[in-house]
Amino acid sequence: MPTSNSFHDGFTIDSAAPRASSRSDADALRASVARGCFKLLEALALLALGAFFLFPFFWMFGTSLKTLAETLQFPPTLLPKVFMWENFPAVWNSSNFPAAALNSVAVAIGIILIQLAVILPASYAFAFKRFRFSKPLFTLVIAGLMIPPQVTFLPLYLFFSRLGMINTYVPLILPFASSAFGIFLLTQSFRQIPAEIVESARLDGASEFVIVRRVLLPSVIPTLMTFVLFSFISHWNDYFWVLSMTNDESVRTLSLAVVRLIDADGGVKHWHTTMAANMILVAPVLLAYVSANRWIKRAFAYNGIK
Amino acid sequence: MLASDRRYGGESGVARIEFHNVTKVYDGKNRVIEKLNLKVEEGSFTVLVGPSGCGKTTALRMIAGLESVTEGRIFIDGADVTDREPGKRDIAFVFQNYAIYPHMTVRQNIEFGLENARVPGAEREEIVGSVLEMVGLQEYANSLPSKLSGGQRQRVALARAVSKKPRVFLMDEPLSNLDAKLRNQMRTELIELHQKLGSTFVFVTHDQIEAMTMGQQLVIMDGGKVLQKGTPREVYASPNCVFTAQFIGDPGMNVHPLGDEAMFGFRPRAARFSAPEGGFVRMGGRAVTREILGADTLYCFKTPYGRDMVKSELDDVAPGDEVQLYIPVGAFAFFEKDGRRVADPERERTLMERLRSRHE
Amino acid sequence: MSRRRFNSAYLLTLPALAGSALFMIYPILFAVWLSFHRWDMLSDTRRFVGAANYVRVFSNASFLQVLSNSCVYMALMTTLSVALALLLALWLNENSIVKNLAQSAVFTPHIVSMVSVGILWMWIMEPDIGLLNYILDLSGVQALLARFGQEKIMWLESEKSALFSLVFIGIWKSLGYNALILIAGLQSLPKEIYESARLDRAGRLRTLFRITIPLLSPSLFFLLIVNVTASFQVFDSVHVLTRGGPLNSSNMLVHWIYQTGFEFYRIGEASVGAVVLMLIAGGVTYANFKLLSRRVHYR
Repeated sequence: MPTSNSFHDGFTIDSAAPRASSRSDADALRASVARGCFKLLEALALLALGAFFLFPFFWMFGTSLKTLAETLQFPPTLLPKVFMWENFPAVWNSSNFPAAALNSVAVAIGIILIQLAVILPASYAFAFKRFRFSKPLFTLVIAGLMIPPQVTFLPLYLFFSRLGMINTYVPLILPFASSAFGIFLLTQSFRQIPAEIVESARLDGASEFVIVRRVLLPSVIPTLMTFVLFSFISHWNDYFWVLSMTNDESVRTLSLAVVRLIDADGGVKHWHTTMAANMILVAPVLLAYVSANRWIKRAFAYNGIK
Repeated sequence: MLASDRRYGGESGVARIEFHNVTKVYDGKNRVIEKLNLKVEEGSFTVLVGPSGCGKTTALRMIAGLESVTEGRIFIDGADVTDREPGKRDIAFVFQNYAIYPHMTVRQNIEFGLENARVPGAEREEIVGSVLEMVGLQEYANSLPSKLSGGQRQRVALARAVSKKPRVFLMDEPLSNLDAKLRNQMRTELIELHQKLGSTFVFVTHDQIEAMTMGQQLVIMDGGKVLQKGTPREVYASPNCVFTAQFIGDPGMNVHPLGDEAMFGFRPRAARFSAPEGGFVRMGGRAVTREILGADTLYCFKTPYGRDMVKSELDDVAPGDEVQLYIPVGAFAFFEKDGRRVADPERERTLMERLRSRHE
Repeated sequence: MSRRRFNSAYLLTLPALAGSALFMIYPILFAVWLSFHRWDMLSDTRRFVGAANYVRVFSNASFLQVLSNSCVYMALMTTLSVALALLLALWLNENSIVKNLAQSAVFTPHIVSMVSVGILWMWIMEPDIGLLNYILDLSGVQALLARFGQEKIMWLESEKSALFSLVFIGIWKSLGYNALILIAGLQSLPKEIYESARLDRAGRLRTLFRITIPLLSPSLFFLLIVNVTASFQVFDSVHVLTRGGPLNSSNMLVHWIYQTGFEFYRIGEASVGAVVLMLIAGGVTYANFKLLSRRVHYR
């Protein structure tokens, strides 16, 4: 069926023929030059903005490769004369970094595992099961979002101290098991699965367990992944909680090891090694950020979306 | 001072609109509108109608200045407005989704444009009062949009448009989000509004029934081009191409190939079950489906040419029945292979003969 | 059958509920209880002292300064960070490669730990050999300040500037998050509203203040709550960078609780601080809801 030909016979233009635009070519040229200038200014501003937020990281990297003498120089040099890559293994071996790093990893993974074990059944129940008090109980759990660890740390320290569990992994992992954020996210996510899919599976004769495994879980995998990412990074970054619940270096995490390094030599601060240590602390997170940029943004900015 | 500033305190305006060779290209590749030439008469109720993607909304938005023009010029009342800001064209636009400000009351919604145009307070009061009365929303003046139904929100959008006293009212499928009953009601109200204000109304819809009901002038578009422009009667009785013939009408014209270089068509209503006076063509058909619509019945017949729709007042043919269909000679339309309506009466006669000879 | 269903639900939620009870409800109640007792760590005895701890704490000038510091930090951090984030969001809200990169750059400090950020800025803000004072000197700003009698800024090392240094670091870290939330908010606004505003002859500023900001109010409201509560929870930067000094000038509530409890072993008084923190957090959320939910426009 022909559609590309117009069969409309147009119309004759009035004798009072309207003139074409009175814009001269010079005007048009001036306008595009102005636009070009603006674009250039904006590009420069964007560059400055990027530098303001990213340059400090480069500065940290540069410092980590300098010698002590170089760091004390004023005015400071942009790049080190010689790249002292040795600073990194030096830092790694001098303090208890390997042990601390291991603690960080172990604690973070431990937290995630126990969180998954706790929030999955709870969210499933809140989303799909009707039971008495489900609403108030849900509100109670979510209220946890309002209660920061800064309020609970002292009483919990005393509690764990009573039980002799300070300086174990227990106070570092257990309190985070019932993650209000995780339950909130996951319940919402479960609730968004269209009821028809579940009903259809039921009509296909699937048992509850099968439905959970083959229908529900696969649907929430993205949410779970964002949560795991968020939880891992948050706890990797933690300083305050580990500081409060431990006083033995052997169980402390990387954040504390790095901080301990700052004043390690009394007198003059060793900024080069401190920055090298900081690089080690920051590297995993930055790596994750670069490779999974969109995931990370979703994970950390999610709780803004209603 | 703009022409519109003079008008506050007076009646709404009126203007004619012209497209001169307007082309619209998106992203350098997507040619949505191609060399469009169109004239909208002042004071008319013109409907742009066509299937999705035909460019009608784009054309409307170009009148408003919400879309830029890639090539060509647009004139309102003889003035070139192609590069003019939307707010300075003296037009009003009613969106499909109403686009009323959810955080402002009905009154504030209407006043917003007036405030920006520096209309003094007392006059604003008056205007707001009168448009609210016009759309029947006086009691809702201080309500928030969230408390209003879809139909009421549409009226707010309308009130806002009327308050500007524009020369041109542009409407982008404003009734599509309303339920059927409300839609019919609003159609009548819009027609009355047009009669009352006398401004130029340009209305976009994909629903040809709506177009036929409301329009004084229909502009049928497809593929970014205007296929036909005329009154509802003209486009129904004298379609100038196959597309128009099939698009207009409920259902559209039955069109089939006639040999290798032509096509013929007849409207569903033209076919009868008994021989009429004068010349006719007779063909056999088997009823496939029957829809009883009330006063009319709509049949689908399997004929030697394929499927043909027939609309009749008789409902006694049942699915499966074999009947003879009689179509008066005058009801036929002939088209060239490219879709254009056959213009030459000689050629028309020749084709008619050829058709009749097939059914002796 | 339904009996079994009920039971299984309770079983499924039991770990979560137990966790909430043990690690959320119990500590709060315990903290309140502690605030009314004196706990001698040496003899491990506790005795009820009524409101004595509260009196002690609130008549302590250093605690009052800590409260004041926290409030100043909160006020400055929240207003500046959210306002600047709004400007950033309006600027960066485009889907071009360059602006997406800019968004990512701005967001980077947020995911890095506060400890790392703090240590980094401690180095940059080093008064003698740090980058910041060097740039100020190089760009002539230092010379300009000298005309006003301002010598080299000591940043974290002076009681006049320590708190503001922490505010600056806090803003640097939080801007990206705030901006991202606002960008998401901006993108959820229907385009037609803006077209309608153009047709209503609204200029740029009018559109910003009468349309964009009111429609953004849910996001702004959310950010207000998040930023205010977060600023009262500040600890890492205080502990790592200044230990609250010099002269208590940068000490803030959580750090004060930590010091009082873990360094001075005055558990009862520290718990008073915890109760104060709870009340502030609760009060802030409540006040926000009451005052602003009237102005917040949900669609």
